[in-house]
Amino acid sequence: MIEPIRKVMQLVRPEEIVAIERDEHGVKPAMGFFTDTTLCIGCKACEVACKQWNQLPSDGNNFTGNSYDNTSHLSETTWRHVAFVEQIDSSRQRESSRWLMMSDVCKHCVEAPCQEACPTGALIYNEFDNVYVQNDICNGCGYCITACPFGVLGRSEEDGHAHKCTLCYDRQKDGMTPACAKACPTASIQFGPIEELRERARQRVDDLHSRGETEAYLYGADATAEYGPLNAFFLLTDHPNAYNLPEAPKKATTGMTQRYGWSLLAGLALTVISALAFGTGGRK
Amino acid sequence: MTPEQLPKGQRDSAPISQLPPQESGTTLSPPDTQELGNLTAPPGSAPLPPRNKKRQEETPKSYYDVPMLQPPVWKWEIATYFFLGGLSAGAYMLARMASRFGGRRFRDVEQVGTLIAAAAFVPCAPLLVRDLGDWKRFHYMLRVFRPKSPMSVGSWTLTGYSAFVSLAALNEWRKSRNERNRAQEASRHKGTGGFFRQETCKAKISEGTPLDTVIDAALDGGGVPLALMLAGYTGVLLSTSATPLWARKKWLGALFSVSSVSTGVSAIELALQWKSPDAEAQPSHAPLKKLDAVVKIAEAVTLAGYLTEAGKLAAPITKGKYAPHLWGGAVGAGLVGSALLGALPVKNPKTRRALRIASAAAGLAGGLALRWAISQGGHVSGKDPQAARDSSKPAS
Repeated sequence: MIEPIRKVMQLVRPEEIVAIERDEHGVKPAMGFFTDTTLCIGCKACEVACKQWNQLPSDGNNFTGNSYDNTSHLSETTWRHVAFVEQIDSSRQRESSRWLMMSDVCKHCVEAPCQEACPTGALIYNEFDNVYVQNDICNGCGYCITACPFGVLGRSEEDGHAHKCTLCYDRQKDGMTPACAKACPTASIQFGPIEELRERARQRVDDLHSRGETEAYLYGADATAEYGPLNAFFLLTDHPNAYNLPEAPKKATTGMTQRYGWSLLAGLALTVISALAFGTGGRK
Repeated sequence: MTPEQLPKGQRDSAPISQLPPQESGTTLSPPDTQELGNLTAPPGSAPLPPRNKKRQEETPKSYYDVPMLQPPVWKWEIATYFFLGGLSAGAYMLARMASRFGGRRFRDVEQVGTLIAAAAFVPCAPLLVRDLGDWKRFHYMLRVFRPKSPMSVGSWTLTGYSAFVSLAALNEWRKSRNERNRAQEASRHKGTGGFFRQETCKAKISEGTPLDTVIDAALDGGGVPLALMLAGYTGVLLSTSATPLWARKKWLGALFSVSSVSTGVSAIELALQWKSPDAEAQPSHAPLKKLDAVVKIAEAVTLAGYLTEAGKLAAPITKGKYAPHLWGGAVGAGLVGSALLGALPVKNPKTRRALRIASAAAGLAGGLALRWAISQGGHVSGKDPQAARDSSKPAS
C-alpha cells in the first residue's frame, strides 16, 4: 500500500528545486517553465504568489463573467494568468463536458521578437536564458508590445516602462524556484533546466496518451517552421486558440530585409523619376 | 464517480488497481467501478475510445473573445510623426534632385523644398519624445545600434538625417543671402556703366564656388539615401510587428515611401502656388505636374497592393472605424480629389491658381489621412482576437 501512495506523492510534488549543474564549459543550463495544464486545478496560487513576490499592483475589481477568470489576460501587472476554459456539450447527459485550466505566462522565447524589437537594449537574455526587461534602461517606446505574438508585454501607466514576467530572476540568482512554481500545489507549473523539462514533458505526453488522453500535446517545446522553441512551454489538450494562444506564432522580423528592400526600391525609383523630370533639358 | 470527476492527479494513481477484483454475480458492485479499472490499464493496451468528439465539434476555438494581443500604445503623436517625417524626407529628396539635375532652372523648387523639409522636420523629434513612456530617457535610443530593430535603425536614421537637413537649411540661407547681395551689387553697378561687372556678378551666382560643390555632394550623397530610409522605414517598422493589420506586409514600406514623395510634391506645389501668382509660368511647373501624376499612380498601385495583401485583416481601415480616413481621406481627397482639382479645365488664371492650391492641399490631407488610418487602425486590429487568430494561422 505504501508504494502506490509514494507514487502519487511523487507525481504531485516532483523534485522542485533542481540543483543547477554547470556543464564542462562552466555554462549554466537554460532554465524554464513546463506548465502541464492537465494538472492545473485553477486555484490561482501562482497568480497570487507572483503578485506578492514581484509586488505587482492589483488589476482592479473587474468582473468579466468569463467563468472564474476576472484577470482576462497577461499584462504589465499580471505575469501569471489562469485561464478557465469551460467546454459544455449540449446533450442532456453532458458527459463530454470538461473544464480546462491553464496558467499562462511569458513564453521566454528562445528567439524573442520583443528582444529583437527593443531599440535601447533594455530587453536581454539573462544568464538563465530568460528574456528580461532591464527597467533602468527601458524608455517606454512600446515597440516590444506590438512585437510580441502572445500579447504578453504591457506598458505601465505608473512608470512608463514595459513590464513582464522575469522568471523570478532575483529568486533564481539565489538558487530559488520562481514564486509561481513554488506555490503551485499540483506541480502543474514545473521549473528546471529546460532540457530536463522537455524530457519530462515528453514522457508525460506518452503517459497521457497511453491512459487514453490522446489529445495531449506539447505547445512550444520544439521549434516550428516559423518560430523558435519556448523556454516556457505548455502541455495542452485542445487547440491553442481555445487557450487564447496563437496557433502558429510568427516572428516579426521574418522577411524584414525584403521589406526594407521594397521600401527603398520604391523610394529609389521615384528619385530616379524625379531626376529625369528635373533633368530633361539639361542643367542650366 | 466518473473519471472526469476525479482530480487529475488521482487519475494517475495506482491505488485503484489495488481494488479487489470484481466478484462475478454481485449485484451490489457499482457499475462504474469497471470504468475506473479501465483507466489504470497498463501502458500499451488499447486506449480509451475518444469521448469528446461531440464537444470538439461544438466548441468554437476562442477564449471568450478576449484579445489575444496587446494593442499598440502609440497615439496621435506617432501618426503625425509618420506624416511629417515622410513629408520632410520627400521634400528633401525633391529639392536635391531639382538642384542636382535641374540647376538654376529649378532654384525655386530647391529653395521651397529645403525649407519645407526643415520646417516639417522640426516637430518630429519632440513628437517622438512625447510619445515615450519615459521621455527623460529619449537618448537611450542612441545607446546601441540594433540592426534587427527598425526602431533603432529609424532612430539612427533620424539622427543622421537631422544633420543633413540642418546643413541644407543653413546652406539655403547662405545661398539666398549671397544671391540677394550679388543682385544688389549688380544693380548698384548698373547705372555706372559697369556692364561687364554686372555680367560677371550674374555669372557668379550660377557658377557655384568650390564650397558649394562640396556641400552639394554631401547633401546629395549623404542626405538623399538617409531621406529615402526615413521615408520608408516607418512602414517597415509597422510591418515588423504582430499587429494583424501590419504584420509582415511587404507593401507597407513601399506605400509609405511613395506617400512620402507624394506629400513632398504636394507641399512644394502648394508653397510655390501660394508664393507667386505666376507659378504656372515658371519652368518648375511642368516637371512638378508630371511628377505629381506619376507619384499618384504609384501611390494608388502600392495602396491597392497593400490592401490586397492584407485582405480581411485590413477591415479596421476598409470598413471599420478608420474607413472614412482611408476612402474619404487617402483615396477620396488625396488621390481622386487632388487629381480632379488639378486637371479641371479652367480659363481664369485666378481660379486656376485657387484650384491648384486646393489640389495640393487635398494631396497633403490625403497623405495625413493615410498615415492616420494605418497607424491608428492598428489599435483596432490589435484588440481583435479573430484577426489575431487569422494572422497566426500556420503558413500552408
